[in-house]
Amino acid sequence: MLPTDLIRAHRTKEKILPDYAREEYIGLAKTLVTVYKEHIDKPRATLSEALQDCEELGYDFKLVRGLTEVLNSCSIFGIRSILPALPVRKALFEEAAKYPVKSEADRQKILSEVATRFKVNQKDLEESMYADLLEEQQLIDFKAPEPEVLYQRYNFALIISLLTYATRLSVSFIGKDNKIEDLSENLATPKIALGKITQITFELKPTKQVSTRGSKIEDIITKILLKNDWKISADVSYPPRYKVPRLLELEKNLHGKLLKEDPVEEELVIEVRPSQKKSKFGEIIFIEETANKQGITDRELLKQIQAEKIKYVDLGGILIHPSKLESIKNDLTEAEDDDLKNYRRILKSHGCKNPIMLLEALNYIIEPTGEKGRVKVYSLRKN
Amino acid sequence: MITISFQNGEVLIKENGTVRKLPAYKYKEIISEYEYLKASIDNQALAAPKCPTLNSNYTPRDYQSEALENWVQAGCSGVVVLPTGAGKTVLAIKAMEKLQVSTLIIVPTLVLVDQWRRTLVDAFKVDVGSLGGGSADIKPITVSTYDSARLRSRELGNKFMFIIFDEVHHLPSPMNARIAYNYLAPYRLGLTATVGNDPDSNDILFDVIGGIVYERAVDDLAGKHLSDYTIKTIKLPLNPDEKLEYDRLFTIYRNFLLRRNYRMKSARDYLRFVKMSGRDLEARRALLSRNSAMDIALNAKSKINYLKDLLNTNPTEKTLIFTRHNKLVYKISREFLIPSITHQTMAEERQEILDNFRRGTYMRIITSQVLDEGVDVPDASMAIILSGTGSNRAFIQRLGRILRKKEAKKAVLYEIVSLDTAETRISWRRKQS
Repeated sequence: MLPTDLIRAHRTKEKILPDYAREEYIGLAKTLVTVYKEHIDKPRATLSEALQDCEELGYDFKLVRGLTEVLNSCSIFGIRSILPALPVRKALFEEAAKYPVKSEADRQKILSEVATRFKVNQKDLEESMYADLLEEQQLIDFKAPEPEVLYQRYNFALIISLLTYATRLSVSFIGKDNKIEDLSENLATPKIALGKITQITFELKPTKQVSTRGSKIEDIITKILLKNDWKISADVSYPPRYKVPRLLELEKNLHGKLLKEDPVEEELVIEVRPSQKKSKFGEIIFIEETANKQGITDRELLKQIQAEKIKYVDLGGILIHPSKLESIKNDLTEAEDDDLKNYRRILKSHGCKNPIMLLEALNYIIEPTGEKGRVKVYSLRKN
Repeated sequence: MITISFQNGEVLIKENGTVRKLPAYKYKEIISEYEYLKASIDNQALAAPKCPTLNSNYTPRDYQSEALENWVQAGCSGVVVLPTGAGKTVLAIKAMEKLQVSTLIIVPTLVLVDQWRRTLVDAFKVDVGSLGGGSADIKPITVSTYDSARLRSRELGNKFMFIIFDEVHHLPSPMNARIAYNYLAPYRLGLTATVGNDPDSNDILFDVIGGIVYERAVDDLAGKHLSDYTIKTIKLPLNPDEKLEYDRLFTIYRNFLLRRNYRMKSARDYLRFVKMSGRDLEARRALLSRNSAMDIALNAKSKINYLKDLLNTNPTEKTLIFTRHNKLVYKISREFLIPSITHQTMAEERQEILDNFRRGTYMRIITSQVLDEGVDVPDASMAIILSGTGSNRAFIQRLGRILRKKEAKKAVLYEIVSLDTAETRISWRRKQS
């Protein structure tokens, strides 16, 4: 889903109409994809600067940023350094404390001295110094979507963002689907009318936990889009300051080609760490997602994980390596402030692809503050 | 018989079969009202645990004693404004000694929870609980973050007789104000280096805690209790290329304002302008141009050259270097190999850097805004503000970092500003108090 401040939609007397990305923006889509491709193996900061320039191309900056959000989910960022950053920094600062840098020559001397100690060249040492910063992470891989797919994913994310503000949501499709019914229970108590056409209706109260609701709605809509003759109808109170909701209507014939579900966030940070026995599924396994990706059932996935004989802690739908869990818990406890962005950054630095789900599994509560773009995270866990 | 009880952040008054509900912070008023009327009341509201005896060896300075006296005279409620380094913690300890009641100390960050806990354990030699960051160890003396105190307010609202709000200027935000409303603690002390200028916020503050009972500015204490200090504002010209680009960008912004007849008089006007830029392409271009122009002014090359000279001529001064943006922090850290602290610095590394600074192993630290408040920064004698906001509070807090009294110490704060740019106005604004 898109952050609330990037939602593009307008209200008429009765309806709310999303401002979809369409073919007329093909130039923008191509440009953004090219920017990402050109920044493979380059730092995130350089990519961000280039993307900022794209906001001045004359398009609605919300569209540019929204498309960027989607492209980020097609990207893998990681730390690439010869040495871990922390000991390098420490060594450099300690050396410079003894012999303060008064000129470039002094600086070079210190770099050379420390590089020799670490048995690397000066360039590698300098690159390692702050390689752990978010902005220094490099774009390691980028799976470029076709412009049309990019629009579809953007439109999907836009719809999900709008639906999080629904006070009534109704979905219908031909046939029956147990999985969708199960997912519906996660969102709210659904009214389910079964027959040739299944219709599921939810009455929803406005929530401050937009991200949580968004991810639950996304789970349902992702499945719905795969069905025949689906229809979605919702009363949407967006922007939230307008209390009278407007109708959002979508159906396969009219909107099916406009939408495509967003892939699971692919952003992954790889840290320099000593080698250890690793599962091919990673240290944090989101059972359902991973099984879906592998095209196998949850049970089959669990069998495969058991066969690897690596111990995991079961957090309910998430398996996590004990050492990873401990290190995540420590880092979360040390979180500088309670902003969700901060928690996301911490969890992503641990390679977690779904920070919100993991935070909830660890008994954190995610709550928007009412302040634009700011979502707070609290822990109710008792020691 | 009137029964007074506490439920979910409210005081319930049962009288003649009717129940009245009032916010918990009105408790003190309610009780004194009934006492005045000599009414017979069954007070079930407070469930404060027994407090251990609180005695410390701290001797307050004269102004701390004055502050305490004023606060007691005001009914043990009110805000005390003292500069950073003037010993607000000592004042709090003396206030706790005076009252000898269960106390909740509320602070903005987890780092401060630890700092306060350590100080209180040292001072009173009693167990001190903590609330926040996954810890929920409630004791008669407990230190909590604002967030945790708010989240648990309905449950803990009647457990403490005394609340100390550290950095109380955080309290008037809509979320945090709920703490003050939901706790019935009759005794309240707010501590800060600066109270803001927003009348609405101050109204909330004075309503839930009480007015300012004591206030001393840096200049009142400099020399005797705080170090003497000098502020040197250095205005440096941009280099010709920077100047050309700055003027070009700033003109785009200025012309936009002129064309639209838009006057930028206050922070609210600026916020409106930012909002407008969300739907108005021209406004957006103006905003981006302004931001880029400010980037040039705040991060000018001449500032780095001047910094280099300052550091070379003052090698033995313990120096804190402040910037507005992290980008400049890392640039300087790389160039001069100076330890840096930003919001991305993990707690362990930050502590190690601060410890090394305290020991004198490191003589310099560069930071953005994270050390402005909420972290116990070791004493320094020189501060260099390479760039900052127009916030008067941040300026005073940065100044406070070099004011801890030391024999023959003369603290110097250098403020480096780009000449003929909008930064000169920012610099002027932050020095208004």
